[in-house]
Amino acid sequence: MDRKAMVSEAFPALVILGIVEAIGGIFLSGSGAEKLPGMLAVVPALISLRGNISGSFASRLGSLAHLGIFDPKHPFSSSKDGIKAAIILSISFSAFAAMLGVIMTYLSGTMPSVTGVITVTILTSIVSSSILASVAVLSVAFSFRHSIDPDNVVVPFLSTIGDLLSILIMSAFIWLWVVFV
Amino acid sequence: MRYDDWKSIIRESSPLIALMMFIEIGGGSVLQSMSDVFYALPALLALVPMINAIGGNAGSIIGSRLASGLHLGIIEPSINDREVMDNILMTGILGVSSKLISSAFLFITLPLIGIAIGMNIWAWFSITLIASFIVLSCVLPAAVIASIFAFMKGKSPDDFTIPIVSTVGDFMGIVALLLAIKTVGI
Repeated sequence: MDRKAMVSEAFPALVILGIVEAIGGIFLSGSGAEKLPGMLAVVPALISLRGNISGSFASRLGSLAHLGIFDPKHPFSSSKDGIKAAIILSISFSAFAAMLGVIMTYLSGTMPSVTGVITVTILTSIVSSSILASVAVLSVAFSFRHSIDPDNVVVPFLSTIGDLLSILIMSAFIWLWVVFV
Repeated sequence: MRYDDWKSIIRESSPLIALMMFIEIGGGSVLQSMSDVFYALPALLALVPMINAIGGNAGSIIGSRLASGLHLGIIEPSINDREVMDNILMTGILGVSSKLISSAFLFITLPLIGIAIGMNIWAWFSITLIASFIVLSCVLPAAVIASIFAFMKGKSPDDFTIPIVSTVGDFMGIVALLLAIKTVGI
């Protein structure tokens, strides 16, 4: 195995990803999530839901672009089924996760903030899935117009900013709820 | 059936997402049960995304490296293979080192924005080190087994190894953080 290549290629990527995740962590620790009972139960699900749905949406767009179905000149109209699916999946599974989290918190003996957790989770999901779907469509269209293979650039880029963006949006909604409601 | 029809996308992705949500909520409930610790020391919450991402990172590296190696025939589909062990060790060392760098970044940045670390430097780095080590020792063997299985069944690492390993990593990340905090005794 080529150890040198792994150190020189994989290590910088891991360090950059680690810093991006740490920035997400800073926002999470400043959001006051621990003050909204039941929220911490949903945080990991909400972050991974974003990765799952937006990540696979972006890689599907990449394949559709190669197949010629995705038209970079009309990016939104030629990918509306994917956008619709991503938004429906995001909203329904975030509602499902919020309810499951609230139930688990209640069963473990803490009274959860039912409206708080459900409102924050669904709002985070709607805002972050719409932003990420638009960013995915525009960046796949951009990379295709400039003859860059979307699979190599857009997909890894989206999963990294997707994680960060979903943590930022979630932290903002948690903070707003904790401070104002 | 069209490949990009929204109903078929929902039908195909729902079962896996539902399964993942159950596992993630399991991990989240452990996190919720630690809310007293985070209430006293919100700085520890900053470690959660980076410890949880270990699964996804290590899973993608090992998953894609083993997939290429297996297809080229330079790696045998066995956990005792020398190349496999080399890959596990290297990913483990790089994984732990990169997390220590992120942890140092947090140790410097958090106090600057008014979030106290609340413990000494050794306790902070011990928590990072112990938690990363525990996650990697669960995630790397899982990634290798999933990659070999994916190779034998002809599945791509993107659709199989990475989602499995990142979900296992999310759950284990939280458990590992809990164990690390208990071990260091904050």
